[in-house]
Amino acid sequence: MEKNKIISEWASIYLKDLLKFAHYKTSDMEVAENLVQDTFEAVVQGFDSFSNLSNAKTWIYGILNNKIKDYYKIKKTTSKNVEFVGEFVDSSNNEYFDEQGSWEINKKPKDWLLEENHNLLDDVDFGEVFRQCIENLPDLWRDCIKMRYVSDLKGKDICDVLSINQTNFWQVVHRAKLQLRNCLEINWFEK
Amino acid sequence: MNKLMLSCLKASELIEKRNYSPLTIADKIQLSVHLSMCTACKTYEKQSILIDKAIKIIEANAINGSELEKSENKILSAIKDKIDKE
Repeated sequence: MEKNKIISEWASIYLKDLLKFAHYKTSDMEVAENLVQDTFEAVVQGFDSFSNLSNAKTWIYGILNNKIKDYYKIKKTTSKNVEFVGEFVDSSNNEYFDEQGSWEINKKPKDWLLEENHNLLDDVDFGEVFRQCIENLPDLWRDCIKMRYVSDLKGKDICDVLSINQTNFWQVVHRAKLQLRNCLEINWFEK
Repeated sequence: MNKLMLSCLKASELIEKRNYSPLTIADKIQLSVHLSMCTACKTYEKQSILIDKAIKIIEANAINGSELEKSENKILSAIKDKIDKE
């Protein structure tokens, strides 16, 4: 009885965010639904051998993550954004800063006059440029900056699910933001 | 650059890091000193916040709310069935 209660509780807490995450990775609600359902079947089966109840969230996301990878293996296509490994960054080699860590002249953030651009985020054309700039990021980088919004994971749990260490994670987020910022500046604000 | 001062690279990295984990007191102080003196990093900070807002909007619109709810309910009842059978 205890087990059933716990699993039902997990479902009511995590289900929506797991679906969002699966949808983000597959762009298909029906596929997402199947993957999350399979995940919970694995949770029911694996429950007895799983002892670390306090870390259930990471465990469940980990299962879902593997289901997503399997899905792409079976489909025999490589997803644009399923691959979690690779594309790590080396902070000693950053084109946006000079050796002292000061902004490179041509990469220094320019004023976007945001105070005069209140409705920027409602602008369809801006949204399109933004989407394009995000698409251009390496897959892991995109996952890192989106993770906060496509799952309810926080801090260390994000790193665990993405299999990345914390220091590297911030550096990836930082680098992704720099590239995204630069892309927007060139393709929108300076156009 | 003065040794006590953060570099712009480090400052902008801390701006991202604090979204995920609390900064140490020393980092907090160094960052706020840096931001009070560096227009470029202050600008970066504003733009970083804007970018996060835009991502949030895009992701919120990427999914159909009623579809999500339908899937959620379907899985919930499937789990219930499965558990009841056990």
